[in-house]
This record gives sequence, structure tokens and C-alpha cells, in this order.
Amino acid sequence: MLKDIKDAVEQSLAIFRGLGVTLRHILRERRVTTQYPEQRPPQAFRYRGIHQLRLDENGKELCVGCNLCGLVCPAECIYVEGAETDNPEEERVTHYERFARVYILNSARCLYCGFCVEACPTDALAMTPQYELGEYHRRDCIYDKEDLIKNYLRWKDQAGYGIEWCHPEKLPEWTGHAEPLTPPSHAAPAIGEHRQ
Amino acid sequence: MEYVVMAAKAVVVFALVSGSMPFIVWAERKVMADAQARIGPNRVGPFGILQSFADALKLIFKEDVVPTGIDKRIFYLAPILSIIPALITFAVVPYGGPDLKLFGYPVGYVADLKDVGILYVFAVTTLGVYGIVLAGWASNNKYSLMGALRSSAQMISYEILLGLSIMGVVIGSGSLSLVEIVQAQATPYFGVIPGIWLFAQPLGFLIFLIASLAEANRVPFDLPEAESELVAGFHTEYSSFKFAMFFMAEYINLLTLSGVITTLFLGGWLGPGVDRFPILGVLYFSVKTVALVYFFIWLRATLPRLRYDQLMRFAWKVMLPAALINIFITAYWVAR
Repeated sequence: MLKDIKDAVEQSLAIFRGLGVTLRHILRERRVTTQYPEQRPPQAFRYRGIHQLRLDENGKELCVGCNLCGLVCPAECIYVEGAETDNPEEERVTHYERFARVYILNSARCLYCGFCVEACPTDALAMTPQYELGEYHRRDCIYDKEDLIKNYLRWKDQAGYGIEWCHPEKLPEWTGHAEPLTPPSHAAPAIGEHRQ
Repeated sequence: MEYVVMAAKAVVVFALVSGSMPFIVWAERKVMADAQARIGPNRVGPFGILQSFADALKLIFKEDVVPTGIDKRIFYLAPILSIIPALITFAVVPYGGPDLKLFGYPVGYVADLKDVGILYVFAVTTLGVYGIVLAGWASNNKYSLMGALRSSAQMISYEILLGLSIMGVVIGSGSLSLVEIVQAQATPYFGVIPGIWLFAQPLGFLIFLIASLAEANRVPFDLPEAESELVAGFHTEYSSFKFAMFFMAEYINLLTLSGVITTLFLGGWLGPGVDRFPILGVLYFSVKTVALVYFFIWLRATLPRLRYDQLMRFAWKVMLPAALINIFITAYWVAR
């Protein structure tokens, strides 16, 4: 009986202790909210956003259309059609005879695992910190080679996301904030059409 | 002419009570956010104060989903039955003294029911249960029905406590009229302490506070809509404006109960200088009521929901004896 009363009193006091905890929080006015469109959360140095297809210092494409990225992709979201050319070197898009005639990446299927980047033998494919990839139509989620090269051009001057992608030496320069970018708005052909 | 004044007062009070509801919702969201280190609504209007209006507008334009196999008449009647009692309770709550006159007419309250004042409050708030029970019954949904069943059991239990806990105040004041109950609190204890019933009836106040939380379905007694187990309880199947009506009823009930507690235990319109400037009474009443609303919100940010059996055990085994003891002590003190 006496123990019951003691418990009851203790539990009643616990309510007031709880009220004190919330009151402390109300008065302290600490906020953890990030006001998203205006403020942006810090991103990891090796954040995996949408891909980029890099160019070398001469403006030539690095991608040789080997399709290793397409093979390793667990979501099968990359479609590459390699081709060879007999053109003289100054007219080629790469330094080699081989180049990617078609390079399609479906961002709606991609799971951003980064396997494709690891598989790339020429370090042509890399990722960017760009994460605002929402679209109203599935067809707008299809990125072709041009789009991916555009991604490279957008990000090449950003520390850690240029040619020396994620190089540890670049880490001190990394601000942890990605600039908002406008995703491609044009309609690219659906991935299935190229498969046929 | 008297009826015109009465009608005018009713319209004004109705407009103020229902008009303050969006701001209570906003305040609740802001205070909860404060307690949880968040920001809360801050996009619509300054400090997000117009958020509730945006929400209401959105709700009105939402599709009104009517489930199959329902009892249509009752389904439509339920939200109305739940909002009307919430609104009409304020008719007897005096927000200014009888001295507050405009063109010679007393405007301190809509109506002073001399013989039944407080009984009217209980009668009307009890009607609110029908809205919930019928909503659950008509929805043809097990979760709704469970919520309604819980609600009826809870409300019947706590209705008793609500009635018993104010018996001390009624005995002490010697009146059922809310105006006279406030007037009975005018003489200070020992000449210094404000004569409000809170100090003479702390136990009664506590029980009434807890019981009114249960009556308003507020945390920690919000079992009828326990979202973690009953989806949304009695209003699971309600959408669009019918849902908005339940939502409004809940918050107006909160305001009404705060007003009733202010009247019964915190001295209503009474405050320093109120006998010379009766208009100050409205201010005092509002401040006390808003403070209580804030307290309820604060409580919601603090406490978790009770389990159902805990709720019932607490009502019948702890609160009921406490309320009875309170009555006996008061009766002895008055009869002495």
C-alpha cells in the first residue's frame, strides 16, 4: 500500500519532469531543420548523384564505348552502342578508333551504386553531386551522351568533381554544398527504342 | 430588443470562437515544433500563421470519399453532431462580468442560465460523444467502430469525473450559474491571495483538468483516434470537409474546455482593476484561456498516449475516489 502510494507520487512527479524537459526545449529555441530549397544539407565528398561523361584536356571524349558499365549495372539502366571509325584522328570524337555511338542512361532505373564508375577502364564515367533529378515524365529521365557530357561541363570546376574526381587532395576544397542545377528538359528517345 | 442583443452576442461569440480555431491549430503546430527542435509551418503568411487557412482550403477541394455499405444518413449527421455541441457550449461561458455593458445591455456573456448553467455545459459536451459514436458506427469499418467504442467508454467514465470534480466548486459557490461561480471567487483569501477556486480546490482542479483532457480527446487520452493502432479511429473513413468538421470540433472543444476551466477555477474575467474598467475582464478571460490552451499543447508535446486499460483503471480506481474525497472535504468545510 505504502509502496503503491510512493510509486504513484513518483510517477506523478515524472509528468512534471517531462513538462520541464519540453519547456527547456521550447525556451532554448534550438532548431535542427534545414530549410531545404534555400539551405542545403552538406553532402559527402564522394556523393553519388547523376553521372557525367568526362572529356580529356583536348576536349575529346574519354568513353570508348566498351559497354563495361552497361554490363556491370545491376539495374541495367545503361545502354551503350560502341562503334569504330576510319576518320583521321582530328575528326574523331575520341583519340581512338572506338567511340560510343549511343550512350543512354536511365536515371529512373539507376540505383546510384557507382559500379559503372568503378568498371570504367578509361575513367570516362564519373558521378556528380547533383541529386535534384525529379521529372514529370519518364522520358525526361533518359540521359543521352550529350546530357552526360553537359553534366561534366557543369561540374568540372567544382572541387573534387572535375577531372580528378574525388581525389583525396581535393578534399580540403570541398565545400560540402552542391549548387542547384537545372536537369535536362528535352525529350530523349526511350531506352527501349534503341534496344530494338 | 433584448433578443436582438442576444442574437448579436451569439453571432459575435460564434464568429470569435470558430474564427480562433485556425490559430489554435497553428499555435499547436508551432509549439509542438518548438518542443521538438523543429520550425513548424513558416511558409504561408508571416510565421506561417495562414497555414491553417491553406489547409482548410485544400480540404474543401479534396474529393469527398464515401465508403460503400455505410449508413448514409448517420454518416452525414455525425460530423454535424460533433461540431454543434462544441460551438454552443460557449453560450453560457461568461467572458466579461455583468458590469460589462454596451448601450445599457449586459454583453459580458451570451446567456446566464441562472439555475442550470454548469449543467448545460455538461449536457452539451456529452452530446459530442454522439458525433463520435455515430461516426464510428456508420462508417462500416472495424477501426472506426473500435475508436467509437473506446471513445464512448472513455467519455462516460470521465464525464462522471467531470461532474464530480466541480461539485466542490458548486458547493463552495452555492450556485450553478457560471456568472455567480465567478463572482464567488472575487473575495481574496486572507485579503491577499486571489480568491480563485484553484487554490481552495486544487484536487478538484486537477481532476477536472485531467477529465477535460479525456473529454476533448487530447493527448494523453486520445485513444479514440490512436493512429498507431486504429488508423485514425472514428474518423478513418471521413475525408474532405466532413473530416475538417471533426477537426474543427476537436479544437473548438479544446478552446471551450479551457474557457470552462478558466471560469470555474481561475476566476473567469476577474483580475486587478476589473471593477472600474469592466472591459478589462474580457482581456483577463482571454489571457487565462489562451494560457490554458498553451498548457494543453505543451502537455501534448510531452506525454505519450495511455494504454486503454490504464485509462479506465485510472478513471475508476484513482480519480473517482479522489473526486469523492474532495466532495466530502468541501462539504464538511462548508457545513462547518
